Order: sequence, then structure tokens, then C-alpha cells
Amino acid sequence: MLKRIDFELDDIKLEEARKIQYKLGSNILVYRVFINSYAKKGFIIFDKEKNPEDIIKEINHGARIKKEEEITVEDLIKQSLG
Amino acid sequence: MEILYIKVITVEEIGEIPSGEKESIESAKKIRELVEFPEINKEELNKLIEKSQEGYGSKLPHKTHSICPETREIVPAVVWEKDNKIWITKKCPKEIITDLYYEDVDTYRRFKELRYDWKLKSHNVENTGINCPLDCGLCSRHKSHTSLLNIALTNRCNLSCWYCFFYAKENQPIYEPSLEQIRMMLRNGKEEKDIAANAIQLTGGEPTLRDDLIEIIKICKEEGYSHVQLNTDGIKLAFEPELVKNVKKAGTNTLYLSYDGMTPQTNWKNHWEIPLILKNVREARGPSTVLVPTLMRNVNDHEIGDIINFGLNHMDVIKSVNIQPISLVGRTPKKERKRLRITGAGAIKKIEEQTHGAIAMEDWYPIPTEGHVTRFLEAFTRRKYYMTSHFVCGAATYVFLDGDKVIPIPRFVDVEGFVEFLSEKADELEKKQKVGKITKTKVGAQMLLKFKNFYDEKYAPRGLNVLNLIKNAFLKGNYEALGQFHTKTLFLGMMHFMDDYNYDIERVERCVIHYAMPDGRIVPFCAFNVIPELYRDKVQAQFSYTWDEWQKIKPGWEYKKDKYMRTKDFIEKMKKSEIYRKTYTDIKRYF
Repeated sequence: MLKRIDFELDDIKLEEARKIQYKLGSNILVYRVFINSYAKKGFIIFDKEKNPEDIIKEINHGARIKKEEEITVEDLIKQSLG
Repeated sequence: MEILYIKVITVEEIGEIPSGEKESIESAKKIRELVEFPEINKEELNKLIEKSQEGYGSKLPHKTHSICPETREIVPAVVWEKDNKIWITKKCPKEIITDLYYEDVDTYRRFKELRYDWKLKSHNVENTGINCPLDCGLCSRHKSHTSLLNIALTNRCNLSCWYCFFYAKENQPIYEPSLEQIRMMLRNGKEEKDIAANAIQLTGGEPTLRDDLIEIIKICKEEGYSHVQLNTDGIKLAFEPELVKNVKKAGTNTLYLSYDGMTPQTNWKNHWEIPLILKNVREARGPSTVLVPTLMRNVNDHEIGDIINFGLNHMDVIKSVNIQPISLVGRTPKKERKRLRITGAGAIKKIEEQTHGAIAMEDWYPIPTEGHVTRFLEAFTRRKYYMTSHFVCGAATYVFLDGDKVIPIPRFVDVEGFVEFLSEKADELEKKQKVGKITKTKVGAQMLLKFKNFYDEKYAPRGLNVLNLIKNAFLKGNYEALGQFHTKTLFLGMMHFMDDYNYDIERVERCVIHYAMPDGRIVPFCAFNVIPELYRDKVQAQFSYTWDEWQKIKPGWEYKKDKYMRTKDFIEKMKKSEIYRKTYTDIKRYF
């Protein structure tokens, strides 16, 4: 089972967002991640083994969870088609 | 006293798994030429960036972005010219890195004029691409639809190439998607809008190691893929003629066959097996074979003319030579880049030299030239399949074999003039609400009349009636006649995949060769392979079997049994065989 969290951010520069994007993206427990420095928000889909609080800490930049939901790998794949 | 003689069995007698390690050490000792990279300091680079222009196809110096090989940050880069070569220089946090981008300024400019952009209308991630290429899946920023969809069927391999990070070593996880996962990936390609993927490449590892390969090929056809291509080292196909027949029967159109050179030193992967592979393909009457040399300076670049000559000698089975200049994946010291780096234009120059001008630089056209032709065809026939890669990524030409003479098609067809004419016609047709039969006949007749202006009969092959082919295709709608053209031509292609050092984000966002991943994403080739920690390696690790799990699923499976052991005895037999002589020695020299 996976978890999706949507979050908002305080001020974040493009370069900083990309660094976090890369760091989280290379984690084997992460299935999707997007840090949008322009809209100051993002989302991450990860294996439930990973603690959401740890992710928020990693993102830093005043990240606050706006929405949390569970999602299966199968649903994630279905949502990705097309 | 009895003397006991113990026979020492050498590695050569038992055989060995081809790895290329010895051959690589030997070739490193023979350096014929080095690329001299220009030095540029921080101040000069800043000035260059300041005066460079943004936007795809803008003048040189041209501003773009790249990736830092060390920190993986997205960094500013500039594409610029010096000494009739094009360079890419990037400003990494700790150093300035320059690499060769293209080896001919005039060709770069000519190709730039033929660029063609398109826009994909669907995506499989929510990401917008602002962090490109760190947030891939096809996203709203990506330009091109999938021209060729790759699916890696396994990370098991029968060879042990010394430089390869991809294949599973002993005790490492095995990646092998299930049939359901493969079907899902195929369907994902078909969901692209508004042009669905239609060509698939089954790759690996070595895809022929899968026991269910035939079923997979059938699934590709069931899912509506017209073109199925098998990317292989061909080893199993050499020893299993039935497998070749079954692969063809199941629907494989093309064998994309590794072929790095003319000698056992340059082509250590399958030199000794090639005669058997071609024999089996001949007997099975297909699939059509594409030779795929990975070209490296100082290693096999001196043999590229001979490789094309080899293709021309076996045109009954070989339909194409598709050259891939080396992509130096992973950390590569500058010394090694100077020795090995070659670009598409560099490869074409070598071909011109080694064919004594029979196939020249001017005979090649960039891949997106096809976009202009497709635009016309879309307006005319409503069929569309755009290949809108960056103009530097790939190039192609056709050569026609007329007796002993090799004639590149641009020698008797004015390609630029014809493309311009087709663009004008496309403009006219696009203005019409509906293209009916009368309009089609009218345009077809105009095509025929006008084509004479772009066609020089004096230089055309004697046995080829091009005007008749055009008449049949555009006036009578009979495209079968084009098959006659195909049997006497050899397609020459060039595809230069990027690496950490020459990475240009403008290229990756136009990529047309993609990988489908089991997590539902489709990722451009040069993101998938150049940033493996985000894509290839990571996702395959997510969907892999541990060694123990794999052994439970495949009882009796042994790692060693996957590997190909080439024996000295086999080599000796091949050396003395007629088939070897006919394949390599008793062949014509066209150049």
C-alpha cells in the first residue's frame, strides 16, 4: 500500500526544489514526487513504510500537509495511463 | 617409476563468457587520434552565456541546460562553435565541463533548418516538467510522442560485458516483468494522444533468455503494435534455428542486432556467431535484420565503412545499419572522453572517408525531416506518425545498390526542394475542411508533375523507375510498389544517445525513443539510462525479485546456465567453415 500526501510550501527557490526533487526521487520507497517551486506546493507518493513526518522534515521549507490518502500501486498505475 | 602427466586445461579450451575486457585493454593501447577539448575559464563562459540566445533552433552560441555529473543539479549550459566543431560547456557547482556536441558546423546548421517540433497532448504524470529531467514520466512539457517504445523484458544476460551496469550479477535482484505488467506497459503506449505508440522494441538484458518470449511478441501484436523489434546479441538465435522461425512467426518485424565491427577484437560479442545468425534468418525468411554498431573512437571507428559494406553484401537479410555513437554512461574521466568520444557528425565523416565519398555528409538528413513529410501525409491520407526528435539526435539516409554502384538517394532526389514543396502542399490541404477524392487526385497529379523538378534521372539507378512508384502511390493509392524500392536499398541510420557530459535538456524533452516502466510511467531514453538512480535502476529495483524469490519461481534455474560459454573448439570450427568464409571473406568490396 502507498500513501499520497499533498503539501504546501513557504518560499522555495527553483534550485532548492530541484535538489529535493532529486533526493526524494532517488529513494526506492518513493513512487512519485513533484516539488513545484512556482506554485509553492507539491505531492509525494511513497511506500507506507516511510514515515510522512520524516518526508516533511526532508522537504523542509515550511512544508505543511494539506491532504493525505492511501493508494494502491495498481491504482497509481491506472491513473498514469494516458 | 611411473610419471604421471596431468593435462592442464586452459581457459581457452573450456571456453569463456565474452566480456570484452581483454579486447578493451588492447584497444586502449592503440590510440589513433584524440579529441582536443577547448579550455574555457569561468569569465569566458559567463560572457558566452550572456551573449547566447535561448529557444530551440536559435543561433550559436545557444543557451540550454544540462545536468552536473557529480551533484546531479540542473546547470546552465551553452552550445557554441570553435574550430569547425560544436561544443557544449556547462557551469557545474565545482567545475566547468566541456564536451564535444557535434563535429561539423555546416551540417549542424543544415540540420537545424530541417527541425520540426510537435506537441504531445497527453501525459502520465502530474508533474509539469519544471524540474526536467528529474521529474520524468511523459509530462505536459514533453514535445514528441513515442516513436519507439522500449520494454526491458529482463536484466538477465548471456554475456558479461565489462562496462555494463545493467545486467544482474550473481545474487543480485532479477527484474523480469510479468505478462500482465508487459500488457499494461503496451496499453500505456497506446493511450498517448493524439498519436499512439505503434512500434515496440523488446530489450534487456538479453530478451531471448525469456522462455515466454514468443508469447510476449504475440501480446505486442494483440495490443495493436504494427512494428515489433527484438534488441538482441543474437547468440541464442545462432544456435536455435527454430527460435528464429518462431520469433518471426509470432510477429517480430526486425532483429536489432548488436554488431560492433568486422573482427573478433572489435566485435567480441558475436563475431563468431554472426554467420550462424544470418544463416538462420535467411532460412526463416526473416525477420529483417538491423546491424547496430556502437561506435567508439579509437576502438571500431576505423571499421564503419566496412560494416556498411558488410550490410550491402547481405541485403537479402540485412535491411539497415543503425549506428550508435558511444554514450559514455557513468563517470568518465576527461582522458577517456578524449579517446572515445565521437558524435553523429563525426561518424558520418568517418563514413565519407572510408567509402571514398560514395556516402558523403550531404547525403544525410536529420530525423525530424520526416516531420515535414508526415505533415503532408497527414493532410493527404490522415495517417500520421511524427518523428520529431532534436535535429542533433539522429540522422539517416537510404543507399540504393545499382549493380556494383552504391547511390545515396539524395544524389538523385533534391530532398530539401521536395520537403519545401510538400510543406506548401500541406499548407494548402490544411486550409480545406475535407480532402475528397477529387482533391487527392489533383494533388497526386501535381505531385507527379512537380516531382520531376526534384528528380535527376541522370544520377538515378538504372533499374529504378521512381516516377512510376510515385504515380502508383499517389494517384492509384498502390503503396505495394514501394516494396520494390525497399528490396534494393539499405537504410543507414544514426542515433546518438546522450550521457552525463554532453547532456542537453532541449534534446531530452524532444526524445522520441521511450521506455515504458512497470510503475505506469513512460520515460525518455536519455533520462532512463543517464539518470538510472531515478528511473532504470530504481524502478527496476522496486519491481524486482530477490535471488531467493526468483529461485522459488524458477526451480532448477541456475545463473551460470544463462551465460554463453564460447569454446576454442567452436572458434576453430567456425574459422575453417564455408559459412564463415562466405559471410566475411568472399564478399564484394563496394567502396
